[in-house]
Amino acid sequence: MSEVTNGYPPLDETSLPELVDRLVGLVKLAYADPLTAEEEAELETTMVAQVRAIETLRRYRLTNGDDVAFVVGADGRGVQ
Amino acid sequence: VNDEDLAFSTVRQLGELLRAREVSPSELTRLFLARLDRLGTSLRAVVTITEEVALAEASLAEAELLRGVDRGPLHGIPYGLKDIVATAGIRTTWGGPPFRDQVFDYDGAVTSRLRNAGAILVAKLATIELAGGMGYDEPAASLTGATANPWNTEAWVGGSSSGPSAAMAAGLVPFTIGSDTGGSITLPAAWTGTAGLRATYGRVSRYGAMALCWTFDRLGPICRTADDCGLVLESIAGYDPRDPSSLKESYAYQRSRPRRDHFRIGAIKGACVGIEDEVRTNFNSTVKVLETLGTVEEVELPAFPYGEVAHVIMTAEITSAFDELVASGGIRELAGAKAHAHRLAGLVLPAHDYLRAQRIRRQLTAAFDDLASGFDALVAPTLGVVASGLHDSFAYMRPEASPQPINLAGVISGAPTVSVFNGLGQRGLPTGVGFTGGRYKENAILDAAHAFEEATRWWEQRPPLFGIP
Repeated sequence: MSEVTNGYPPLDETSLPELVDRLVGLVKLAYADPLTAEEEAELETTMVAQVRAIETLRRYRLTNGDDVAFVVGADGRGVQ
Repeated sequence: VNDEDLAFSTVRQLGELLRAREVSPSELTRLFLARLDRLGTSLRAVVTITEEVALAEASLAEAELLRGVDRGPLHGIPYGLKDIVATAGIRTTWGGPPFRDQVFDYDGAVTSRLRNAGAILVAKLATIELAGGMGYDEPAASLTGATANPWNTEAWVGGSSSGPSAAMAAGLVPFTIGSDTGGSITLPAAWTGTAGLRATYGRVSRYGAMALCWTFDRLGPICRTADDCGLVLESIAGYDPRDPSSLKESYAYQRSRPRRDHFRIGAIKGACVGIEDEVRTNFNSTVKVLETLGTVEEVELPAFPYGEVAHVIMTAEITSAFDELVASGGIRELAGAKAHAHRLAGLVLPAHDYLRAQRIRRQLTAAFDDLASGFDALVAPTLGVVASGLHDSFAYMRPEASPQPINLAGVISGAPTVSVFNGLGQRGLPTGVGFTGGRYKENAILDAAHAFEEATRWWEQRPPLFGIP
């Protein structure tokens, strides 16, 4: 796998808790029902995994040839 | 042939018995209805037994076969359908309490195709709620509770196609239809000693099936053998304009051609690192058998962030698919409501990161196609462990229990995989080996898996609790 920055700064581990806290706050704004403490803990754990997954993908080298050929149903052969 | 032997026969064997008039479709249907009633509920493998429909379809098949009308290898054969596929007038619960009374007025494409093939619907089978779409951390996240493993009822069967795999292992139906987004056919097949085929993406129409992750979702058979999977796939495959992912090419299993006797097999490097000893031993034995059937070469999967690509694509698509359920608060009515809160993370997943994952997917698919083109099949243990406990939380599951990277390579690229029974491990529980091939090459992996099954006959083993008269 190519390791590149693609212009993204490296993930700052020390600020990860604050980032996750803010993202969970956004979810709470977007989701009408209040979360229980147990649910919020579940969400926080997942948010850490999501941030790390996104971080990994943002460091992957892409080219203009890596088009999304709009994936579902593209020329009748499914995933392109 | 006694009832116990009939219950554990293959579709191909039952077809021969039907055509020799040694058994009738009605007799088979009554046998499997009785087994579903007696054993299916205690295993928590069944949602609805469709007795009335089954007996009517059996009478029709019987009359047709007597008149010499032959609809093919599934004619007169009972089957069970994972309860995420629509059946007109029969409830389709998607395995979740909010949908316990849901009834559609139309059939899914698979339901219609199987009826046209003369197959007989005997049961709607259990599933993890929403086919696991909202995530889950316990086997009990289902309308029908945790499905017990016929090989050891203290163990789970895996998910999300829990009912189809348990029903096959216990001889409750001759074949089943499951669904797969991230391993929901192949993984429970491995944990139950059955054969599960996740065919090429787009091969089987998903019309009428619950959508979960549009660019990953597939329907496919869970059967006793790879050969049966081929027979069923041929009956349910084919273009359907109602499913935009549907492939235009037709599919033929080509079961009448001579069997090949020399296969090119790639064994995935590193697939046995950190897995249970018994799973490793069984896989090594499998490789030795495959070496007698052709050549086996160790190969490396192309380096890609498989887990991250799958995570981001699934999160984005599932959040969209279940948008209304989340917005309406219906998420709280699900059996595994606590665990489902984690799906809310998808509400803040940026669109450009989803598209980045799709773009990486394109590279990944091209690289995987390139690797797979050199082989009839790439093999690895389907899972590194045997089935977990019936009441175990996944939060404490060991890392080696995670699906193999080859599973995710197949999930993401749309390539086909068939998992077949290859031995027993801890607590008398089955292990499986996955045969993955290039896209559109189902016949190559089915041939190789069939040759392995013929050489080892593991598929003839029956769970001690259910296989002894």
